[in-house]
Amino acid sequence: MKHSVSLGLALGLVGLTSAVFAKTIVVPTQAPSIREAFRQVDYGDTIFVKSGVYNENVKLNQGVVLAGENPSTTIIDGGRRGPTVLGEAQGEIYGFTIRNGIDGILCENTTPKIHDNIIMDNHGAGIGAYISQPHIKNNMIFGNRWSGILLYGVNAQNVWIENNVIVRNGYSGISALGPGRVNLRNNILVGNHEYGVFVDQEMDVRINNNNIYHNYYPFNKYAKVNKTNLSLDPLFLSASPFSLNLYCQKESPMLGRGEGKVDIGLYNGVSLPEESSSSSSSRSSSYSEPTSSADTPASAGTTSGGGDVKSPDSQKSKSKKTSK
Amino acid sequence: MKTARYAALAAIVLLSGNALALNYSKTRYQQTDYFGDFGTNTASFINPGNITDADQTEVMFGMYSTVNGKAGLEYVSGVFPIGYNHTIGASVFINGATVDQNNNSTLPGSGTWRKDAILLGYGYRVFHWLTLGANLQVLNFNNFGDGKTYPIAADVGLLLNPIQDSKTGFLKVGASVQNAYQQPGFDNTMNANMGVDWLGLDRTLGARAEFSMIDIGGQAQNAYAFGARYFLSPNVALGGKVTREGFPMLSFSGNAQRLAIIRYFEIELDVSHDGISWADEKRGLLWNVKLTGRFGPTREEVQGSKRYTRLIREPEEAFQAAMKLYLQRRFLESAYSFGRVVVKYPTYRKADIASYYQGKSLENMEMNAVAKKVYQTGIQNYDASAYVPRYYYQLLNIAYKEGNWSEAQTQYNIIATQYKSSDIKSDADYVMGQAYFAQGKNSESRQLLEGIGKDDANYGYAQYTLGQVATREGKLDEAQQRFEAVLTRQPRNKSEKDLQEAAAVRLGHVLYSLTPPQLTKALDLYKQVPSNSQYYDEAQLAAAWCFVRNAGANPKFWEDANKHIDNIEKNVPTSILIPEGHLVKGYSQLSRKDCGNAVKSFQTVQQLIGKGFLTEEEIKKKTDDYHTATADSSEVQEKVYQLSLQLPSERVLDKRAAVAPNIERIANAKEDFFKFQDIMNKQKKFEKDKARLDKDATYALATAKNCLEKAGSGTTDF
Repeated sequence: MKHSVSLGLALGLVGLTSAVFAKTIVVPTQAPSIREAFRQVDYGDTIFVKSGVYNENVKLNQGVVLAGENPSTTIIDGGRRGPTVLGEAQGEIYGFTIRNGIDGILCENTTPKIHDNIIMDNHGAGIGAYISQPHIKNNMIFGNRWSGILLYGVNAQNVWIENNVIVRNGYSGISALGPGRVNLRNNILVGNHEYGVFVDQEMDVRINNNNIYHNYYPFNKYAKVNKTNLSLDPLFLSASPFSLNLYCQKESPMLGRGEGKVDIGLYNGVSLPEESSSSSSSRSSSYSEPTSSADTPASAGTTSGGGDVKSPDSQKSKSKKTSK
Repeated sequence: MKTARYAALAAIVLLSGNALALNYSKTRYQQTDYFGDFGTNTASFINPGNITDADQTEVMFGMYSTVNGKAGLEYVSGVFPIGYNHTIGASVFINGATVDQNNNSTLPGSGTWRKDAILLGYGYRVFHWLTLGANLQVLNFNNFGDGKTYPIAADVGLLLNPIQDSKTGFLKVGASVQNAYQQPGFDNTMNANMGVDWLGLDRTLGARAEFSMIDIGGQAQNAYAFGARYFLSPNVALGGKVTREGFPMLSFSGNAQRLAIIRYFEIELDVSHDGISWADEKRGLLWNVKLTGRFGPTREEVQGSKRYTRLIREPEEAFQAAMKLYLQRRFLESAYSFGRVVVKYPTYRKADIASYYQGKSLENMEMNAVAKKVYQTGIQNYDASAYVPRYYYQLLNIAYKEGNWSEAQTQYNIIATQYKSSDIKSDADYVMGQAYFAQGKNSESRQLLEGIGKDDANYGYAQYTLGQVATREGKLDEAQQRFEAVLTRQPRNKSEKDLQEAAAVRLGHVLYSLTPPQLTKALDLYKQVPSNSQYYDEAQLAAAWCFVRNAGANPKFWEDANKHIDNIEKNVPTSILIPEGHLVKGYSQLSRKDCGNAVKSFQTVQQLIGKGFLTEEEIKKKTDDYHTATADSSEVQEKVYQLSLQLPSERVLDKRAAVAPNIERIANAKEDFFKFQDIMNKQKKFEKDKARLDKDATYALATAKNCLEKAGSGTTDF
């Protein structure tokens, strides 16, 4: 909510954002479906969705927060009818499993916030963002047929794609195509069938503090991957789809290795089960800027030397280091 | 190098019509599962529905052989995805057998059997879980010398994907009918095939089963095949299968990504030995090899590129659509549409212009309060935009319209200091010059307006105002020149035409005021003003006065003056100048010694003066009605503003529909009241002239009465 308001102010939506009048609609208690709930809300309102499977294709509304009760048990099933979720400017979605759409979440010329979701088993990209400025944070993006995140013509100078765990997608973990500028940080990219990060020649991508591990190739020659990036086994709690939990173990070398000394990968998912977030549950806001060194977890201790991702020039060897 | 590679591949395909020395069954060769796995993309030979599963251009080459070389089957196949739902494919299959007549005496004709096929396939994804497909095939069929060649046949098939998720796996179910159509006289069998393919356990285990009913409606035979493979990694798998002909085979497959131009490469290898089959046909070691290469962009990339191309145009199209509404003066819709552009495409290069026209749309609906908000927000959000001075200019314009002179001065100062080289500067000079004129600041007004050049669109208007300034200052020669400057320009629109009519009247008044007056010229100018002009009554009255002024020299002029007064009564019956018209008429009647009518005319003047045009009650009621009707104007304006910044969801559209009647009500009330205000302004002017008219009418009435009395007593002098 806070962030919808701040973006609203930037666009001059002063009157729209009167939080005093903001309301919350609960699905299925107050509205039988998510789509029906969207018919009842205005800018600044929240739709809270209780656990269950919702066979719907959802279009976010401007300035409306769509919150799931629990990302593991609150499921939007797109039924392969189109994108499971269609992004909208200043819309926000968190706390869902988003599955079985063509794309999991499709953003066209828009600026939504997508965080703390499980986006899996979609038949196109997990998240497809075209000429958009999406905030994509703290999501598990798993087993989608095409790329985990496809960024096409995205020019997001001040928008970060961060702390996502992007695993075993059909093409690359993150594909950044077309002209634009993107910032990637603190993401884990593992086991994707082509590249961990694929960058088009026209795209300017800042890639910092990501862990790019055991993808078919880590990245292509246009991806400027610097020494802040790692290639280490992240030690997930479970990468099996039967008990998917892509938080890292306490011993994970991902802890405290991210930009701003935060963890790489998932951290402090406000809507995820506490027991899943085994490493850094002390943080309180999933959208606080991770810049304070005071937030550094004590458990971080591994060095970056052995696990650094190789430079682009050395990628032809397909070396996948697993230093630990 | 690449060409040579393809040529070699083609040569292998064309030259490998190997002999096949096994028990002949005319039904099986197109049913072989050596290559035609149901679960793979290019198996359109078996099921054309399968090909839509390909997301990239794919070329496959397969070859079956035996170690003794007596059996062979090859194919090369290609699949090309089109858009998201369409896929086309083509395959060339080569089957052949040369049998030993001595050992196969039951076979007809010569010892050569061939059945080659060229297939063109098409698959359409009806839903993501259902694909339909069809093949058209041309066969080269030689059934030991007595078969027909080049018959045409067609297959149909479908592919279902009922389950697709990481937990339960990925299930495909295919069904097809081969030779569903075949050229009459061609006696190949019609076959039904069904296959099930599953990949599960976190994509580590694959299993496949196939079932065929061969020669449906004829000598039906059933055939079965099944197999499984385990993925040691996403790139390597081992497995086994049992073919329709009962051969157990060991399988290996491996794949690699991005090998030069090949985006994906896969090799599948099956091996077996005839000796372990039920019917040992002495073929020795059996092997199949299948090579698959994928090339070019993926469906994701092609679709992405198309979508990107569409989306990159989308803001421009939305902007143009909004501009069209604006030019059609559908300002409410254009306000919403420009607002959508601003919100939906914040990085669009014309977002600043869209914001500007969003404000203009609101301004055109007299929603000045929220228009100001739009301009102020635009200044903040697009501070580097070339439209910033325009935002300030519109703020100046609103301040001018509202008579907020200090605000107008503030906005003008910003333009004059920070954007003095902007193209909007001369417009700002003009508006501020008008503002100064309205405040009676003649020299300040003159200073700004004199700077507006002849090429400027505001030149005529500036000259007109300068003419008024000069008139105020008593500089009649200059005033004459200024108004003439207006009149010598070719009007480009109605507004400029109106301006010229006003200038003609003003210039006429100047000429009338000169010493000596140039009445003929003035009269000509007054006569130029058409009857539908808002200045017509003033021009007609002035024309009448021109005649009155010369009537001493020529009594006929009284009649001419009366005609102009009649014109006013006829064309502008509500004119405030009618009382003065009656005064002129009275003078005319008096001059002709028509004293009775003169008395009536002067009495009419007095009556009209006494009555006025609007009563106090009328004014109060009208004003109260206006305030009642527009009491929620600010609230409605704010709603419209907020709705213009909300993207059109179903709920937002409902809200827009709900607010529309209020907008219309307020707009109508304002329009009515503006008209009423015009009347009130005339009333004020009338009130100002009332004393003079009353005095003139009283004196003239006394004279007329005196005349009447003298006429009654026989005296004619007065």
